[in-house]
Amino acid sequence: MLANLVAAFGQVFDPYVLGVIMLSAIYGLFVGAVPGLSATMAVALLVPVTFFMPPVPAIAAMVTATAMAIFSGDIPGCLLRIPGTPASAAYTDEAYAMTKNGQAEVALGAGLVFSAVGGLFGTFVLITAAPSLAEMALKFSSFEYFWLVLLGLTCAIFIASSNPLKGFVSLFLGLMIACVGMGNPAGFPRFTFGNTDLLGGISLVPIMVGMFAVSEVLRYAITASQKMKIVQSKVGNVFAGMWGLTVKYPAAILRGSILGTIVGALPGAGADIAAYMSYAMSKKFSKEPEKFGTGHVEGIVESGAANNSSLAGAWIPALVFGIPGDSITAIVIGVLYMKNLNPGPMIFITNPVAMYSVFIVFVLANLLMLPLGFLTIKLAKKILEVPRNILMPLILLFCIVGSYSINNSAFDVSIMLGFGLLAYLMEENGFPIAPTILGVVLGGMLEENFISSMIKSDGNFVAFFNRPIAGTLGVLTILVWSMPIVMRLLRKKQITEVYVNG
Amino acid sequence: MICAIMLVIRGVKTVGTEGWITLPHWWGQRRIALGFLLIPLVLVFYVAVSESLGFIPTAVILLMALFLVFKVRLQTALIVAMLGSLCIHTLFYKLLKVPLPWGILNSVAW
Repeated sequence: MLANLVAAFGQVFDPYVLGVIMLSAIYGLFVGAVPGLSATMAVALLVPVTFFMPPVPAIAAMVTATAMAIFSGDIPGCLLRIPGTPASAAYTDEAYAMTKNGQAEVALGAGLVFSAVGGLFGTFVLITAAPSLAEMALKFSSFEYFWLVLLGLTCAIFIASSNPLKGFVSLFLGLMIACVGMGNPAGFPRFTFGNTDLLGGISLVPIMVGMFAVSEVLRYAITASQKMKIVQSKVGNVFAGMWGLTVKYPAAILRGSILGTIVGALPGAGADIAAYMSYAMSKKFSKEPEKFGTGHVEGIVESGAANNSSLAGAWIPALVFGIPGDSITAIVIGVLYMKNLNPGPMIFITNPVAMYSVFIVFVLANLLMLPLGFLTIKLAKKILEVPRNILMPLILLFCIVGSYSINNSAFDVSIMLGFGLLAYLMEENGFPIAPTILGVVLGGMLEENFISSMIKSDGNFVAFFNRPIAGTLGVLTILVWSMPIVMRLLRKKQITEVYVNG
Repeated sequence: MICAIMLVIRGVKTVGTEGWITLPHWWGQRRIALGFLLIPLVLVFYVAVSESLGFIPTAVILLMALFLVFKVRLQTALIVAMLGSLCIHTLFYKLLKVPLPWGILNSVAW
């Protein structure tokens, strides 16, 4: 263990890797701070570049960029009332109200310091929980994996969307896309329409670049004419008074971090949902809930910690089971597969050095956030003045080259365009994107585990419930499925009762 | 297959409540609609001509078109389009070794 740890330190503190971390930190802070560019987009745009790197710097780049982007999304929220990333949307109004009260530095400081605290907490949970979970997961067979994937996909629908029906549609779309090509156990070409480009399946990178980056550019094209107004305010020492806040709200920090880690670990729900939930929770448990919305720092402390801790939380199922916890880790898993570093419990045995490196990078990124975030806040006004009408076309060009570069085929650019339009239309009509992306990433795994289970049990469905853990997971999955039906029946009953009685 | 059928059924169900297509409110504003439509158009343009025309000319045309619709000043647009194309070309062609097509510039390829 110790030898591995030393080796991991050696890998991370290599000048090349440190350089990559520095650059991606700056990149992440910038992307997060520009409204309209989300943390997920930051990762999607990084994929083509990391494709040509060794695994450790590639992962380091993505971890650092996301952590930074989630924090710096708070900056435009605070100064412009436009969240820089969806993860900051939950408390944008609160932060803006604080700025108007002349407390911009407190709001930004709380965002920065407690982002780092939350991130470190999530990392700590990741480091302690992942190896022991992996040990348990080693005993899993294809039956358990089948249910686990299914449960994960189900969670993605019910947590991520207010409308489960739309979530289902989104998921099935993803599963269908995963079906394309000959890469299935039977080796039979599906959904290819006689097109040779589709035989190998649709590669993941154009899908992700399209869904997360091109769709944002499309959305920008529509909102382009809206003017932004920057509140003129002096931002002094953002670290002043942070210790006081830590002493004042220890429960809030802990609650936010724990909730964030859990939400992050659940598939399909990421930093944005973590922030919303913990903001609501903070209001509920606060001693002074009436102050929320008028520029009260408590909610920012709690949800700022939550959205950063969820990043690390999302890596727990990603590394242990290969099931992504949010759309960012879904992209990361795609990259890991391309690097032949298949996530799953075996990775802790076959490649422990890479795992320790991930942990070290997480800690490093969250510590780096403090000085770099401080600088970003100082430069915030300059960043917010970057002309987006110049930036967006350049991003689009980058998307094109990025998609092209993976297979050197112009066909992938068309795929990217198709998925960009698809994602845009889906979001505009209230369909969540996360289930689609999870379906694409996990579709193959679901099918493989199903087929190998069926072969093992000679086509006997009962075998899916015969092992204790598999049985429990199976029952749990079916329970979650039946929830909406049961709820509807209950509601109907209530309504009729009210009708009869009243 | 089952997925596909279920998808259609569910899709029809959802659509039934809201009508098939509702045009978004910005559709009436010409420039915004143009900007939106231009993005898929330039992508199709790229796919169609990048092999024969080469990456750099295609990229410059593509960027210029977008810049002009998004109301960037002509001079700035020209400079940024040139520099941006060259930067991205260098990054991917030189550093990441992606064989971007040279097209008509093949004789002066570096």
